[in-house]
Amino acid sequence: MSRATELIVDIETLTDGFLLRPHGDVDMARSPAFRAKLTEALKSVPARLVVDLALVPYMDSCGLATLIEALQITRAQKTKLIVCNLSTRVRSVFELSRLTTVLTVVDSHEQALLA
Amino acid sequence: MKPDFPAPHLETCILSRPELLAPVRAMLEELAARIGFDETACGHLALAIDEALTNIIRHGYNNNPDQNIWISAWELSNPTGLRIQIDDLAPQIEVSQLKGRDLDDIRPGGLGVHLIHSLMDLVQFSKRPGGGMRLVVEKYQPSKITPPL
Repeated sequence: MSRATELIVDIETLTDGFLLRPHGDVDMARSPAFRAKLTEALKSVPARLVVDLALVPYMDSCGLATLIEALQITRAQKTKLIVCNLSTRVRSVFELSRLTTVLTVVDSHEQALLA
Repeated sequence: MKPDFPAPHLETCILSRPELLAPVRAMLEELAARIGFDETACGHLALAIDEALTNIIRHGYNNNPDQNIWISAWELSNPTGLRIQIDDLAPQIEVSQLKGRDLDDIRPGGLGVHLIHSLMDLVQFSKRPGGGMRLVVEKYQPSKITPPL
């Protein structure tokens, strides 16, 4: 995997699940790596999965599709999926796609742990 | 193959590889910034082109990484803005098929065309006379559109 396609994702264990913090742009090249990390985190059926996008300056529809796939899994297995810390640019893509109406999106890491 | 429109200010050809999307975004954002677009508009322009290229790679070329995509850009003067043309040699499809999905139907995929239409001021898909498809998009600077007399 090259630097263009790899995606560093920090994984933090919470009392009731996991927090994932990807680093860098999430586009067509990197969304497969993002999907793999999300799938891995959801395998143990956690009660909560927080995706912290503080370090994601750019996301396209491939990244959004990956989150929608994760949402479908979390709905089926009753995991709470929360997305937080969206940059202005990423938030605008969420809003254009109306993802803010179906995903739980909060401003901060702290709010995500309480949502 | 060369695009039909004469004398682009910027012209490049890339292979149909996802890892080339980031450098194309950076190049077009920089061009848009130098023309005078603000940061939000530069980001919107880069996202629209990214979505168009993603669709060509995935659907037009079926993820074959060794096909060509031509990108040409022109600075526009009236209205002030940027015109970008993207040409490929993918199998031709009816333009009516290039529609974004209903946003109320939440599922993975189908967002790209919707985003392109939302982000750009002009969007024209067409079949290229010599084969393949063409997309022309334009984005204008709101404060610099010349009002009609």
